[in-house]
Parts: sequence; C-alpha cells; structure tokens
Amino acid sequence: MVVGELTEEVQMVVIGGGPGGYVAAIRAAQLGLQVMLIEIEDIGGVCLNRGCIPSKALITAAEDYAKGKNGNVPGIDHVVTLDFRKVQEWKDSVVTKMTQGVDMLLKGNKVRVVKGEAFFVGPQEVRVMTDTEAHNYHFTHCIIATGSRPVELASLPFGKRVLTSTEVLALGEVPKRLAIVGGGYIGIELGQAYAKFGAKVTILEGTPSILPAFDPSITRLIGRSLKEWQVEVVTGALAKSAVESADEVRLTYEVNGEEHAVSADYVLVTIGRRPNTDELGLDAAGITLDGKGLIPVDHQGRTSVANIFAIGDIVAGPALAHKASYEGKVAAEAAAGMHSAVDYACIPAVVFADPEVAVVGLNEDEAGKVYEKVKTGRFAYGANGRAVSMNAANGFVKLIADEESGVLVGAQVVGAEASNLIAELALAIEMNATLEDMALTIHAHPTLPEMVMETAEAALGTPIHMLKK
Amino acid sequence: MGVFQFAFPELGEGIHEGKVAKWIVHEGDYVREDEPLAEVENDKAVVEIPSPVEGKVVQLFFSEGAVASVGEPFVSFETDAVTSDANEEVPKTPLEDAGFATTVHEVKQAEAIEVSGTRTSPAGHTNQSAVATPDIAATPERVLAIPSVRRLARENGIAIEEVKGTGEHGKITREDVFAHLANQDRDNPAISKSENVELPAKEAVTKLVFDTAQEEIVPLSSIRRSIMQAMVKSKFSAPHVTMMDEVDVTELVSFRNEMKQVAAARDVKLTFLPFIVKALIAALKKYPYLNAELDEENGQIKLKKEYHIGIATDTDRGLLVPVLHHANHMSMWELAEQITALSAKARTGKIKLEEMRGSTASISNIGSAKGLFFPPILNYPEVAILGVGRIRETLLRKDGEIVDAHMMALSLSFDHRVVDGAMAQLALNEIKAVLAEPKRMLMEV
Repeated sequence: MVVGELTEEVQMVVIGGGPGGYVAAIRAAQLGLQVMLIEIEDIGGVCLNRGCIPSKALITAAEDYAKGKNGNVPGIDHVVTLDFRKVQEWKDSVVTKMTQGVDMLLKGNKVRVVKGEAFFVGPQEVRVMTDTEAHNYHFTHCIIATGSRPVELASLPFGKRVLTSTEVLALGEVPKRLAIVGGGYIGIELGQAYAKFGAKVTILEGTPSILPAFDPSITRLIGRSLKEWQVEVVTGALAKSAVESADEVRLTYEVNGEEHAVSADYVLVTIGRRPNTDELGLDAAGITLDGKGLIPVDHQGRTSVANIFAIGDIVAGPALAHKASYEGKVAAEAAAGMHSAVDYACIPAVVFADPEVAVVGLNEDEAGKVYEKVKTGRFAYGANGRAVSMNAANGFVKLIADEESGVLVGAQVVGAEASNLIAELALAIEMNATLEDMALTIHAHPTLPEMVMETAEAALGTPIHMLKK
Repeated sequence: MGVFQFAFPELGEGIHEGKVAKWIVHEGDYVREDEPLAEVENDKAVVEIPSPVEGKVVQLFFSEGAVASVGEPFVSFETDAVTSDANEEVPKTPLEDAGFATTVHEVKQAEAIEVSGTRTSPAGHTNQSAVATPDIAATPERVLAIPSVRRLARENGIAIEEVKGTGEHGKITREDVFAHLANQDRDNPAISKSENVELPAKEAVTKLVFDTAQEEIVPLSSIRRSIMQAMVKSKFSAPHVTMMDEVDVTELVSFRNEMKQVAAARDVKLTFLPFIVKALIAALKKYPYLNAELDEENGQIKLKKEYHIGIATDTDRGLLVPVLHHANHMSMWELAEQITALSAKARTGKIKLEEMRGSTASISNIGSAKGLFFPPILNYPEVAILGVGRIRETLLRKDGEIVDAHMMALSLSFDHRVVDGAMAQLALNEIKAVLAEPKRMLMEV
C-alpha cells in the first residue's frame, strides 16, 4: 500500500473486461456516462482469450485436419501434415485480432481501461491494485462483471499435468493421450477436437450421461460420433486421484465401486465453473452472496446496493457469454436511468461438438409442464438437399410449440451449422412466431434453414420431404 | 358464530367495478340484513350496497375512494347466519381461486411500492429468480409480446402482464400498451407520472421539471369517465347532422301561463319540457326512423314501438340522462311530475341505473342556461336528439303585420346513416307544428 492515498471520481466503474463487462462499458459510454473499465488480465476476458474464441479456432483447425486426413468427399485424396505449433500461432492471432478490436472499440467510446485487481472498500469506492501501486476510485455507479473460473477438485489439484481448459487450449503439441474429467460441453468440445488431431481421448462423466443437461435424443447422436472418433466415454465415473510423474499422469477413478485407472499425458478437469466473487471485498460494499457464491440481483441486475449492478456468470442463470452481454447492456442502461430489464423469452445455448448441438427455449418435457398440450415436429438432416450435398446428413431439427396457439416455445438442432440455425429459432420465439408463420416463410433453396420450414410443416402434419408415420 | 366474507357484488349488467364513495357502517358495527353498508359510485349512479347478513362488521376491505371489482373481498362479518358451507363458498373469488394468482398479486403490489419509492423499478418482467433460473414447473405461460413491445411497456412503467392483448392468441401489441397507458392515466394521473429515478439521466431530469409545472391534477370521476366514453363512441360512430330552426311558440307560452295556476294547485312544476316531449313523440310517431337503432352487425334498423325519452340533466357530478319510460302513455301532468322527480334524483345521486337506461330518443335543454342553437351529440345508439334553446321575445312579421312573438330555438341532431336530411327537417317541421299550435297536443295523446 502506498502512503498518501488518492481518490479519483468516476461516474461508472466496470469491474471485469469480459463479454459482459466490456459490452456494459461501451453501452454506458454510449449513454453519456464517463466510464472506467478495470481488468485484471486481458481485455476480452475468458471468452476472447481462454474460452469461446480460441476453442472455436482449435475446433475449426481440428475439423479441417480431420476432413483432410479422412477425406470428406470420395475421389479427393489428400496428403495432410500437421504443424500444431503453427495452428496454435494462428489461433493466437485470432485471439489477438479480436481483443485488439475490443481495445479499439473501448478507446473509440472513450472508455478508460485500468489494469489491476479491484476490490471494494465501500459502497461507492474501489481500490485497484497493480504490482506496484494502489489507487482508489470513488464511483457513482458500478457494474461487477468478474466472471467465473474453473472449479478445482480437491482430489485432483491442478498441477503440471492436471490442467484447466486454459492450459489445454494452449498446449504446444498434440498429446498422445488426454483424459478429461467432466463430460459437459467443454469436455466434449475439447475432447473431440484433440481426438481429431490424433489424441487418444478418454472422457469421465460422473452422471449417467454426457451433456447431462440435454435430451437423450441429442446425447445419443453425440455419443455415436464420439465412438467414431474413438473417444472412450465412461459414465457414472468418480475421479479419485491423479498422480503426476515425469512424463505422464495416472488418473484413478471409480465406477460402481470398482476402481479403474487411466494413464495420460494430461488430465483436463472441467467439471464446472465457480463465480469470481470471493476476492472482491463485497462485504465492504454491503453486498451479501447467496449459498452458491452468486450475487443476488433484481430484474435490472441491481444488487441490494442500489448503485451497484452485477451481471454474467456471477449472477443466477447459465454461465454464457451472450447472457452476460445482454445483462451488461441492461445494467448499463438501468444505471443511465433507462427502464431496461432482463426480460428475454429464451437464451440459445450451443455446443460446438461434432455434430453441433444448439437448443433454445423449452424442451418437450419442460413445455409439457407449462402448456396444456404441446405440438412437436422433427425433421432429419438426411432429407435436406444441402445437408446431403455438404456430406453432413447426420442430425435433426426439432420444434416444440404450444398446441393451442401454435406459438413456438422451444427448438433443438443437432447437426452441421446448428450453431447458426438456432438464431432464426430464437428470433421466432421472441417474436411469438407460430408454426404456421415459419412454415409460410419462404426459405432459400438449397440451404440448411429450409429444415426449419420443413420441421414446422412436419409439426403441422404436412411435411413435403418426409413421409408421415 | 362464523365469519362471512362478502364479496363485492355485481351492481348491474356489465358493471364490474365501483368506487367506494362512503362507508355507512364501520368496523365493529352491528348490522341487520339489508341495511346499507356503503355508497358505491359506478358508471352513472351512486348505489347503496345492502348487507347480505345480520352480524358484526369485522373488516372493511376498501378505504373510501378506492375502486372495488366484482368478486373482491368487500366486507367480512361475524355472524350466526351462515353455516360452514357458506363459509367455504367464500374463497371462491377469482383472485383467491388459485394460490398462484394470489402470489402474483402480491408480487405486483411489492413492485408498485418500489415504483413510488426511490429505486428505479419499471415493472413488466417476471421476478428475478424466475428469469435467472427458470423453475419450469412454477413458471406460468409467458404472455405473448415481442421484445420491442416489452421495452415500450417498461419504459412507461407498465407491467406487461397487466396489458390486455388484442392480437392473435392474446398477443400484446404496441397499440395495446398505448391503450393501457391511456387507461392508466385516466385512473390515476398522479401515480403514472411520478417517476422517481435515482441518479437520473438528462431525460429523466426534464421530466421531473415538467411535472412540477403549475397544474392542478383532477382525477376523472367514474361519471366523467363514462361521459367521455359515451361521447367518443357517439361522435366517432354516428355521422351527426344537426338541423336548426325556430318556432313561434307565442300560443304555447300563453297556454302554459294559464296552466301554471292549475299546476300550482296540483303541486306540479310545469315547465316547457313536457310540451316538448309531447311534440317530439308526435314527430317520432310520424317519422319512425328517428325512434330507431341501427344494428350494424346484422345490417338492419330496429324501429322502436315504444317511446322512452331521455332528458339530459346537468348535475354537479356531470351530465346524466334519466329516462321517461313509456312517455307516449303519459299525460302532460304525469310527464311534468316524472321530469321533476327524475331530475331531482339525478341531482342528488340517488337515481338508479334502470332509470337511466333504455331511452329511444333524447332531449337536451340548453335554454334554461340561456343557450340558443347548438349541435347536440346523440345519446348513442339513438338516432335523434332534440336540442332546445331559449325562448326569446321578438318582433315577427306575420300576415303582413308586425307582431310580438315568442320564438323557441330548436336543434335536431340525427344519425345520417339512418336518416337523411329531408326526413329530419320534415320531423323538425312536425315538432314545430305541434309546439306552435298546442291544441294539436290534444290530438296526439
């Protein structure tokens, strides 16, 4: 601590420069507030630096490599080589390009970026520490957007070979063997990518199914694909310990009381994320956490302290970048006096597995609990001209609607470009579109989105490219 | 002793709410069955709500000035009169029907308090936990409204769930939000304008300054509100045309003067109105399309065979129109008595709803306020209304001579969808003929 403390006046302090924080900062600046953004590491947060963006770059590279090696289309033979270091360089360049873009946007919006670790010293004051100095800022409004970090298992402490997703994304070479503890979306995405690069991947999942949050019809397809890539999946597995040696790590786990072990170059532990709310000095601000370490907020993201907002992974709801961005905009607008509120009908969620999985709104079971009667439609990729001509005939589109009104309440897509197809369906839900609306909207031919129209027609009982059961 | 909870009763066909004008009983009072509990002001009248039971008043659920809706708990009694069966009936009010509904109600109340407090709190969203981690089993159907409409509602401090959707499947449109806003302003201008935004942005500051302007805010009474609705409905549904004319009522004036003494002897106040009623009925009989109603839906005109004449009456609370039912069967004396009795009731607010319904044509008299010609607005769905102006003394050229005359101003408005101008003028001529020659009234009885 430095003697002679200086306190500076700021209208809006945003703590955390991830997809929640930087978006909130830009929106607040657009609305005329003088904004300061405090970031402990890199602008862009986990998403841009160690999450969404780099993992998608690796997944694309793995897919390219696998397609080249195995030949996507018969008749084209390839000689494919892999220089993984160059792949990583390219991935890093993608990250750099994106974070520089955000830097530029912050600058253009006159957001002042301060590097350091922030903690509250009062309900209107934060102290920002860097390696060499500390500085206090007195604020009118504050948005906390500190995100989350991987949960560490007590039995499997992170080390040289027991890694988080951050290190696994940055490996210098493709591991020969990769063991993954946790069959959620990160485990599946990275496991599949490294399997495509040639690693022997084993995934241990504690529950009876991988991707436990998704419908069995979806996980079945992913399970089949994992098998094709020779990924070993062990469900109902309980990781016990990991012993690191010079050139490998031995992971012991239990299934039905029986002990097993697997040796690997690295173990990726990805069993969930915990909110970064423990080292913020929230007590000093007067904010109390709930039992899960989350910050309770109202419909605008306002905490129990009226001038402090919290958004993203540190509040209730799924830990998704796009949810954080949405909440960031709402909080910034609320701070600027607008009547904005967190008021969405649905949040799409995407797993960049092979095939891709994307869901939005309610699944059939959930819809059945809300609506008296539910109408569904399902259409297979195999009946869509573009899917087949892309050599991507694996997958389906499913729509879930309230039978009485025909209004779409949920959708699931598994297959190529599911991550892009889901956007139309999220918009349809927000716009209260009915199955008829979707069936009567002309979709360009030949494209994958034609399946949305066809699925709506299937739900209505009159699909063209499908025979009724 | 059981507790009986009395739900706010239906006051008349299509009347779903009423403002508690005055409590006649207090908590702790003992009341007999049928004794009045409260005076309630609805669309048009003040009515007394009688007690359904004999017993002790335990709780009054509304304060004076509050608006009660049919089915809401109104008064609870401690009484012997009800069995436990009756008690079980009580909770079956719409509000209490499901525990869910009550919870929602409470949530909304909490929000309302927040709005008036210091925290910014636009309503119009599900509560925080429901948004963040949807508990599907407990989540009700989300009301249909697109994001931009939801925002519009929030910006105007409206809970989207409270807006009545007119779109397909009850979808809430932009127009619905504006309509709700208009209603809200009408219900409580003070509340809807008070936005206390902490640390306000520029926009909010201007609003506050604007609000402190020197204006007196007068909430619309329910009578004013129904006048407003009736006038808008009439003016914008029926294309009005007004014929204006004068009639020499010299003879009528002297006839009435003669009759005044007889009237006094009978203790009847004889104004010109009974004569005008007679004259109007004579014209309506001759031209039945003026005593009619347009049934647009079925594409027909209903010609009324009875003559119920509404008399527009100015009261402290606003315009009321008591009705002389079967006026065609009344003698002149009966008309005079009825007019006096009804207008007195209207002025004291004791008039019953039935006494203001069913008119087939109306008369609006501006003469007593010294007015002359004016285009009266139809008492919709009637086809004709006769506006009566003052009688003025003037010189008239008659049969080549200048004579003293009393001239009465008449303005006949009619619905041009049903009646054309020529017929209306002919009807007005008939009214004039009868008024000019009061002897003819004998023939019209």
